[in-house]
Amino acid sequence: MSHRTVTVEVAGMHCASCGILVDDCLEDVDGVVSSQTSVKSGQCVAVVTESVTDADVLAAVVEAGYTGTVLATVATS
Amino acid sequence: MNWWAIFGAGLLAGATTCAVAQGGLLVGLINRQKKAAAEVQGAQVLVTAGATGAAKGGTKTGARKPAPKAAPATGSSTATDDLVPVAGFLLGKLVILTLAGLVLGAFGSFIALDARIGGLAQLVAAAIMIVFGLGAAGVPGFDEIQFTPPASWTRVVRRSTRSQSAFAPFLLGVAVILIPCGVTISMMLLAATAGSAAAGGSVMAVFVLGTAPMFTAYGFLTQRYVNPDSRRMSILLGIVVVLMGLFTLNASLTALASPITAQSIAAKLRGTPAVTAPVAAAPAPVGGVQVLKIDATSGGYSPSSIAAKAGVETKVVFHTDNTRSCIVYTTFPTIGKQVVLPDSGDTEIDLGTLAAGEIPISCSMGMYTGTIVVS
Repeated sequence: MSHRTVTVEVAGMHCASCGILVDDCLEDVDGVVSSQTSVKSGQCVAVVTESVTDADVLAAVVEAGYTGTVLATVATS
Repeated sequence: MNWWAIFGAGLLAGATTCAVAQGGLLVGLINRQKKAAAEVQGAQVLVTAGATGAAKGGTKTGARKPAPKAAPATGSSTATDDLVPVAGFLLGKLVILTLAGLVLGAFGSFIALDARIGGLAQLVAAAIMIVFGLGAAGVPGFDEIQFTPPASWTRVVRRSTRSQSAFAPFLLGVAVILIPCGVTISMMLLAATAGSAAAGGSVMAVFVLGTAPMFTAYGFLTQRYVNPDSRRMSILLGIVVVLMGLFTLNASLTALASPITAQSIAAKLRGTPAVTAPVAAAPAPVGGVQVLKIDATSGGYSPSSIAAKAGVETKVVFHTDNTRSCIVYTTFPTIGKQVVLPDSGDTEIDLGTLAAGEIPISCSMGMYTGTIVVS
């Protein structure tokens, strides 16, 4: 199954809890393999399967209480 | 110690900063547990009906799971079902942060045994508190200064949010000590400068209890912990933390016998001497020695200022009676003398023959002050 790596700029995070919350919400989405959010850089890197769209990723970020912008999407095997 | 200010900081922090995100982690944990319980129940019903193997049907590739944070309470859940995990989380947080406060308070009072080192440590603590306070208020430049915990610490927290244990909310409350926000760190520094283990523990306990009402209200009433419209509350919280930092700064300057303190500035602005006339008259010397008697209570020195005659050998006797504050670490910063007073009893200190002038007395944390006015 092929995967994609989606990098999202997340606005509104102010501490480590925020980063964990974003990862938590993303990993609750079926098809999200992993999520790593850095509060310092304000970016989240999510590895997702084909079934997950960028909109799904952004919806999870909004779900966590933040706003996001997709910076890059890279296809990986 | 202004306990209401600490409680107020907790109250504001409960609806802003990291507490909101931690609430999100808790709600996610609760909903994951509810979902798992529902799946087990569903599987049991299917097994009873003879539909073996149905439990494997949960892997719908590409399907989005129910959103955990927005999920309303299930129809079968009661108010208690939702309140118990919140209480468990807050209890875990209360226990671990109170313990941390006890340790920090004990460490801080040990450091303060040397008044100069204690004063310098307070100075650093005050600076950090002011920086984090400005950050919480959203002052540009300061709002980007954050504590970044090691990845292994965040992994512990993430594992806690996925636990199915009945104690998971409590354990999550304990784990969040690994990911403190700037405001929590500021409270920890305040605990370290509180003067004793008990005072340090109390600072953290009051802070956590302060977070409870808003934290519970958001989680319990709305079932989601998205950032509320908390801009004004964040600014107010930042101001409270900055004020605490300034209070600590002034205490450190007092402990270091700095000529510039809030008291001296206020006196200058008023155009009056920094120290008012002594409230207690100089005692008559006995056998060529004047003995100044001062009560060191948990709330300060009494009298707060006492007169003494210059050129006379002088002794000070501090009387304590069940005294339990940083005042037991009493120092004379300008003459480099300090003493650890017992909880109860009389402690005599020989100051030698005094020259005219003012001799400040202070607890090692700079929170309680007194003066000997020599003339």
